[in-house]
Order: sequence, then C-alpha cells, then structure tokens
Amino acid sequence: MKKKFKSNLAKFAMITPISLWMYIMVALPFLYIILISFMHPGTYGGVELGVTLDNYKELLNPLYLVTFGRSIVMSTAVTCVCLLLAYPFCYFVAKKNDIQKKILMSCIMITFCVSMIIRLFMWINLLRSEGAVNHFFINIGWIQVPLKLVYSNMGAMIGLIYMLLPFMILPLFNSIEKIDYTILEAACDLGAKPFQSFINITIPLTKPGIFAGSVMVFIPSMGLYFVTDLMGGSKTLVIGNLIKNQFITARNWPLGAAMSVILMLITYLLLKAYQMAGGSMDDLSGM
Amino acid sequence: MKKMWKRIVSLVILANCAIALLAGCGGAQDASKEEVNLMIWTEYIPDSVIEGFEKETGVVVNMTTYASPDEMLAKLKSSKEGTYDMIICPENYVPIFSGDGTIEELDKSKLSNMENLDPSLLGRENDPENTFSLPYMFATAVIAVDTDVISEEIDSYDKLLNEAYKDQIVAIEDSRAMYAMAAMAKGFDANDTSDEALAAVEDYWSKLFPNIHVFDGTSPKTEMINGECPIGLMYGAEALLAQKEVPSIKCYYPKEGTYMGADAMMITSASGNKENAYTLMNYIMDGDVSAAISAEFPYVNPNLKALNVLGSDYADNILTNPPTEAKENSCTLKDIGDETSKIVNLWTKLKG
Amino acid sequence: MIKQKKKKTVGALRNLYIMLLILFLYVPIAMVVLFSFNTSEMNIVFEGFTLKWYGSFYENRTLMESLENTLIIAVASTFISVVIGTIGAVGLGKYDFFGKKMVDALLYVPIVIPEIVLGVALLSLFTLMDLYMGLGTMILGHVTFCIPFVVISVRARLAGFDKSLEEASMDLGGNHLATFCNVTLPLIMPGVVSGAMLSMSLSLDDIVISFFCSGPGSTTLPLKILDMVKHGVSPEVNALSSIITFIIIICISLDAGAQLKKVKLGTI
Repeated sequence: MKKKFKSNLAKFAMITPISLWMYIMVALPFLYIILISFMHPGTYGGVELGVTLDNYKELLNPLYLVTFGRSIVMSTAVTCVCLLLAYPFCYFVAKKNDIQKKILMSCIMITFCVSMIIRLFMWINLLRSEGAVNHFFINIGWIQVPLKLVYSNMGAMIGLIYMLLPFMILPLFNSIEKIDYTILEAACDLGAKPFQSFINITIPLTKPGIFAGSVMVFIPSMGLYFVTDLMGGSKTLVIGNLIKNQFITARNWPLGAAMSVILMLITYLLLKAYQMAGGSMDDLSGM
Repeated sequence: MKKMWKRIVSLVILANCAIALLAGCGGAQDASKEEVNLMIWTEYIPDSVIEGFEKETGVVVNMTTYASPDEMLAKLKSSKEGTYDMIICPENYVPIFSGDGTIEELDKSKLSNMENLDPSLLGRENDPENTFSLPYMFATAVIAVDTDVISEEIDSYDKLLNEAYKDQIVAIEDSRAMYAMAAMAKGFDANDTSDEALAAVEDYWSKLFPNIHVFDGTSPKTEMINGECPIGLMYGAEALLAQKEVPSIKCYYPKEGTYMGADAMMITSASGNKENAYTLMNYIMDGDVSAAISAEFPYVNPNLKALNVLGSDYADNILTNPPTEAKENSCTLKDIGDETSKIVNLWTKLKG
Repeated sequence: MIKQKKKKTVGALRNLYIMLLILFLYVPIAMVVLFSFNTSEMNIVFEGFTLKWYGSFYENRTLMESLENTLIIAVASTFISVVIGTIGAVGLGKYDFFGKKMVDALLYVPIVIPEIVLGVALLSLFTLMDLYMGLGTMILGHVTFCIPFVVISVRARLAGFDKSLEEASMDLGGNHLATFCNVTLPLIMPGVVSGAMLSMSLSLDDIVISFFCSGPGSTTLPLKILDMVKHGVSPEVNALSSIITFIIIICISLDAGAQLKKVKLGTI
C-alpha cells in the first residue's frame, strides 16, 4: 500500500510541474488570444467584452490581404534561397572527416553567440548607400548609382536569409550526414551518371532534412518583425510587423489577436503538410 | 571523486536557486532602493543629466523610452498602474490622462523652479491652468534638404510629393504629427477628423509614402548623416544635429503650416515614488540643467534661465527659435478622444 | 592524370564554397570586432583605431544594467526550465496519464510557433492577470520557450536508456528519489547539459518574447541594443559583444579540447 502511494507520489511529482506549466503558460495564453480576437478594442488599448466577427472581416480588407500575400511570398523566397545556399554547403561538409565536420559545424553554432541585433546593424553599415558593398560594386563598374540595398524589401530579405540560414543548415546537415553512401555506389555500379543519382537518390533520401529545414525557416520568417523593422526601414513587410503594429501602435489588440490566429492557422497547416509528407516533429528542433 | 562532484553540482544548483530567488524578488520594486520610473521620448534627455540627478539626489532613474506616442500609450496601458512615476509626452495626452485618472494634479509647492519657465508658453489649450502638467520642450517638424544632392527648395508639403523623390525621404513615425502635417498640406485643420479630412489625408499619404525610404522616429538624423536619404521630414532638433555633421543641409518651415507641439511633464496618480518624481521634475526645470538638455538635444526651450545660458547660438538659429510667422502658422494637437483611432487606423493601413 | 586533376579542382571548388558561406556568416561578426576599435562614437563610418571602449564600456550604467538583467534572466530561466524539463521528460517517458497527448502537443508549440504569437499571447495573459511587468514576467516567458528544448534534448538521451537499470535499482531497495538521483540522472546528464546550454543561448539573445514581457528597469542587452541601433550603436556595445563572443569561443574550445583528449585517451 505504502509502495503504491510512494509510486503515485513520484509519478505526480514528475508530471505535474511540466503539465501545469504547459497548460498555464502555453494553452491558456493561446486560448485567451483566440478569445480576444472575437472582442471589441478599447479606445486606448485593451479589450472590451462583446462577441464580434468584425476583426476577421477587417482582415478581408485588400490592404491587409496584400500584406499577408507579400509576406508569404517573401517567406517562400527566403526559404528557397536558404535551401539553395545550404544544400551544397551541407553536402560538401558531410564528405569531410569527423574533426573537420565538428569544426565547421561549430563555426555555424558560434554565429549564435553574437547578438542578432548587432550583427544586423553591421549589415546595415555594409549595405547602405555609402557602405562597403556599394563602394565595391561601383569601383568595379557593375553599377553607377548606389543600390538601395538596405531599408527596402531587398534589405529585409538579406537580413532574414542571414538570420535563418543556420536553421536550414542544421536539420539539413543531420539528414545529409545519414546518407548511406553504399546506395550511391550501387547506383554508380549500375551505370547511373553522378547527376542522375543526385537527383533520383540523394535528394529524395534527404527529403526529411529539406522539409524540416524549410519549415524551420518559413515559419519564423513570417514573424521576425525586428529584422524587417531594422533592415526594411520600419515598413511593414511581414505578418509579424502587422501584429506588432496592432499591439503597439494601433493598440487594437483584438485585430492583432485575429492576425495572430491567422498566423497560427498558417503554421498549423504547414506543420500538418509536413507531417503528412512524412516529417517527424523531432527533426524540427535540429537535434 | 564522485562525492566531490556531487558537492560541486549541489553547490551550483544552490547558487542558481539563490539567484533565481533573488531575481524573482527583484522582479518587484526593491523597497530599499530610491528610484523613479520615467517614460520619455528617445533622444530627449541626455545621460549626463540623468547621471547628474542620480549623483545629486541618490535617486536611481529607470528610463523607458518610446519612438512614437502610440508606442508610449501601448506601453503605458499594457503595464500595471503606477509602473511609471513620471511621464513626458505630447501635450494632447494631458486631457486624456487627467480624464481617466492616470495623472494627478501637480503640487506646485514642490516645484520651485517653475518660475524659470516663460509665462507666455504656459497655459496652453490642453491644460489652461497647468493643473496637471508643465511644458518640457517644444518640438517642431521641418523639411530638411541636403542641398548637395537636391537642388530644389522644398519649402512646402506639396513639393514633397514630387515623384522624382521616390525613396528619398526619411520621416518620423508619429502618426498624429504626420496626420497634422498632411491635413495642413490639404488645407484642413490639424485636428480635423471629418470624412473629408480623412479622405484628403489618405490621398496625400498615398502619394507621399512611396517617396519615404525609411520611417525613423528615434533618430531620423542618422539617415541624413550617412547619406541614405537626402530629404527629411523630421523634428527641428534632429535636423539641427544633422546640419552640424552635414553643413549642406538646409531646413524649411513648410508654407502650409508648421507642426509645433509641446511635450508635457506629468506625474501619475498611482505612482509609488511621487516625491522622487517631483524632485526630478524640479531638477529638470533648473536653468543650468535645462540648458544642458538643450545643448545635447536642441529643441525649443521654454526655460528663460536656460535660454540665458544658451545665449545667442540658440536665439539666432531658426530651428531653435522659430520665426514669428512659423509660430503663428502652426498648429497645436488637441485630444480628439475616440476619433484618434480613425487616425491610427489610417496610418497603420497605409504604412503597410 | 586528368581525372586526378579534375578531382582536385572539384575538391578545391567545394572548399571555396564552404569558405564563402562561412565568410558570409562571419563578415558582420568580424565587423563587430573591427568597429569596437572605432574612434568615432556614432560608429557609422570607421574613422580611427582606439582601445578606449574596452576600458569604458563598464561605466555605461544602462548598458551594464541590461547586461546584469540578461544574465540573471538567463541563469534563472535555464535553471528552472532544466529542472522542470528534465523531470518532465523522464516522467513523460515513464508514465501515461490523462492529458498526456495534450502536453506532448503543447510542448512543440513554443518551438514551431512564430515567437511573436507567443509573445503577444503572454503579454495578453500577464495584462489580464494584472502582473507587474519586470524580471519576473521575463523569466516566466523565457522558461516557457526553453522547457520544450530541454525536454527534447533529454528525450533524445532517454531513447537509448536501459529501463532495466532503474528496475534493478528499485529491486535493490532504492526509493524513487534515490533511483532518480543515482541512476537516471547521471545517465541522462549529457542530454540535460546540452538542453541547459541550448536554453542559456536562447535566453541570452532572445528579442521578441523579451520585448513583449518587459517592463521598466528590466531591459535586456538585446533590447537595449535594439533601442540603440537606430541612433548609432556606440563602440562600447561592440566592445562588450566582442568580449562575450571571445569568452564563449574560449569555453567551446576548452570543451572541444577536453572531448578530444577523452577520445585520444579512449575513455569516451
């Protein structure tokens, strides 16, 4: 009897803290946000009770739809560029020996040690009209007038790609590293050209990594408002900007909540698609 | 070996526990430390003045800054009452805050330095008896042009709409100030939110925004100094600071009317550090302190004693001492209650 | 012969690509260090060489305050999330209970959801509960997004864990607590440590959640830098960042060196 009690106590002690925390700090806030999205905004912020669909109707306004669309297009572009840049990198590194692999991947991890903001600030310095990049291109004669690289869509994209590239590299590398090279050798023996085996074998084998990396880049790219704030000239370029504007500038919490709900829905749909394509949630954390 | 390892681990855990507890307790205000929580625009009070205050009084100042009044309101409303002790923000918020009890009547007996202020600048429309607030500084918005890059004299809001200036302008982020300027550009009153005024402003903004390269409410001078934007629609003080670095910058008060607003100092009713807030407010109104503030952030200063200290530099510069016609052709922002949301909604929609 | 040459050029091109990508990632970091020696305070153009910022950055009161806040929050959040996460991971692996699937699903939410949604959700909740926004709310927010990473990290380690060891310990007379401390914990320690390190690094540089959970006097270093970025980041910040980076690189190298030694001695 005593043993059963002690056993139950142990079980209780182990699962309660985490369950409580998840329910109170994750489930509850999200439920509250969904609730707020159906309420009226107070004049100077906050919410007033009363159920309404006005907020969602407001979102159908073309101006918002256009921003949502632009944001998704930008996220897609960022994801594709990250994939194209990261794949060769991971592929080449995977062929190196153990120590070199560890060093190169540590290099990637170390970039997280320097504050994101200050790294972005340095990019602004590099990319502005009188910055090093423009100087370089003007000197070699590729352009005559400095490009407005920063405070523009381009600047925001460069910022997002820079920030999210490591998130593509980590899951992708995990996946590419696990490729069984004997399969490729077998294909070669059977007469396949390198290019053929790459398309037909390597890429499908690394699908989990490609999907995981894409998800880990696409979803945050919709919400990283400070990157677009800094590099995009404080113009609203991604959904995250819209939400932040509603909560901070417009003080229209219900509308901001409605936008958050839409963002959550997009995330959920994306994850469902990911799972249906065979992805596992654990891959997403890059472990 | 194993026991020693266990001991080290337990010590580390204990140390972490202690820090975590301290942090948890430190989350609430430390009762033994004298402090005052100030809410103020970015780039509006020099660190040297804060340090001087802290040295002289021993009171620690926790400064929270904002780059636009909307941000200020959001921060204020999303925090517990009494989080902030003193607020310095545009004067049109005085009726709002006095109306809902956020701020309290000023006890003038604790503000001896009040006599330094120019009486003609007191008693403004938003607080005729200065019951709740006293002016801090006055800000104007001017058009700054880098004459090395732009040859035209841009002395009116209308000229800013020129398509040749696409992506050339840096503008402030203040929705009410920008609305006021757009309304004046179209011949309406700065506080007019009638449907016609809204439509006119929407028309103006939809032509202006494509020309705006960056919105920067914190430091628009940066974009003019580093050559990113040759045209600026910004606060007079920022323009002056930009001019110091880039002498080719020339500034104009727009013909259609100037945005000129006072920022007011207020004390919150739920404040837990009222005495310290009064000390700080009085400190700011001291002649030398006020002069030090303006030396770093050259806004229009209402403190007569400070103006004496600042001398002819201040009196002669049109940016720190606006000419009479600019003053007369200027607007004052008034509290428009619920109508404010119309402005903010339009701003949020068009900005993106 | 030609094939060998071709292989060599291909190899060289591969290395070039790797180098270029790493360069792309490191150019701003190099600039951070470079500009920490800048004589110009506005730090927009590099004007001259000086070491003075390394001597003066700790006198910048607001900067030091935000650093202090960042460290307190990071340590506290890491500790709390490691404790809750480790125990939780073991518990989730061992037991079945009502709502287990829900908790499992909720665990992935902070990882995949855009931070801003979590940020505004927490802000709304804190406002509803009328909490004083400060270090406390920051820690609450940080722990929320750190716990899932700890859980996943520990779970990965638990996967190869032999349950019979726990049973053996119980059979030999150990109670649950003793079993956990003496058997389970040491075996999953690498997972706990990597979860802790991950939590620490996430918390140190967090921006979005911190932005929405902060109050007066509880600014963190990244938020302070965000504030400063618009009007020129003083080289003091560069100096501070360079020092932090340097310390972390040293720690990682020491750890790598220790690991290398273990491999060489064959004790791994």
